[in-house]
Amino acid sequence: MLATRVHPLKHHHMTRFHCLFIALAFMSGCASLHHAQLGQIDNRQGRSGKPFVILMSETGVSAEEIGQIARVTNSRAGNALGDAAAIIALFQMGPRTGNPVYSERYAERLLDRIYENCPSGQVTDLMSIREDRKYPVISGEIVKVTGLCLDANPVAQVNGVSK
Amino acid sequence: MKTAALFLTAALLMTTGCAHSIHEVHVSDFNPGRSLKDGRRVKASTEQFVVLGFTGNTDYVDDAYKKLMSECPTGVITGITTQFSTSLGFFSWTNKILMQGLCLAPKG
Repeated sequence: MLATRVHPLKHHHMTRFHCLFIALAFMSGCASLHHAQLGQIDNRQGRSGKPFVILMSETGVSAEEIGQIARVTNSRAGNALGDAAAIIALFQMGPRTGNPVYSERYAERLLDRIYENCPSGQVTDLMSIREDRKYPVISGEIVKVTGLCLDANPVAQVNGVSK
Repeated sequence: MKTAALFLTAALLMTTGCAHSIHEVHVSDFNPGRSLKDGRRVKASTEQFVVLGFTGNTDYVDDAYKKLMSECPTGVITGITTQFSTSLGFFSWTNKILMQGLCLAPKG
């Protein structure tokens, strides 16, 4: 009877181990770049402005990874979950960049966001980046835009080019 | 193990909605740079339905471009954002193009 009881300290260590494992799994997020494009650069003398960064993101979920992890448990419930994940994956066919997300509108307000950062519209050095940060099962699907909002003062003329 | 199963089930339930994938979002130059109130917002979107890789419509990007042009026939369109995404489905999917910009009317 005594031999089957779990020592309280051992149980405590197991919980700590699990917490550590979960924390490590989520710390192992890998960032990957899918697309980057740079626009016009206004690098004339006398130019000054305020840089800005716009981040828009949505949570991506991988049904395939859920199925794989569930099957690793090798239990009846795990296998059933794996089968369910495989069926759901059939409803998610098509070209993908990163994991599927459940809102396609998270980046639609990009133009408004640029004007929120630069109401004058004097924007240059715009760089559009599509990347993701991947964790087990879930990911952050990110659209990032960086730019420079030029000051309202006219830019000095260089080589006959004026603003 | 019970917590992990619960987490996986919750995550699986999240996947049952309509899924999408945004491939690319690009923003063009702001030239000439004007404020939002100086112009008019224009928008154009088109779709391409694909069944198991087969499709009949291969002009949907050109169509979006023409639609955007027709929204601002005599002005300048600046700050154009282009979003290319796919709505995933059962043995089929829909590719989508969304273009938005600011139409600046000609002076005078």
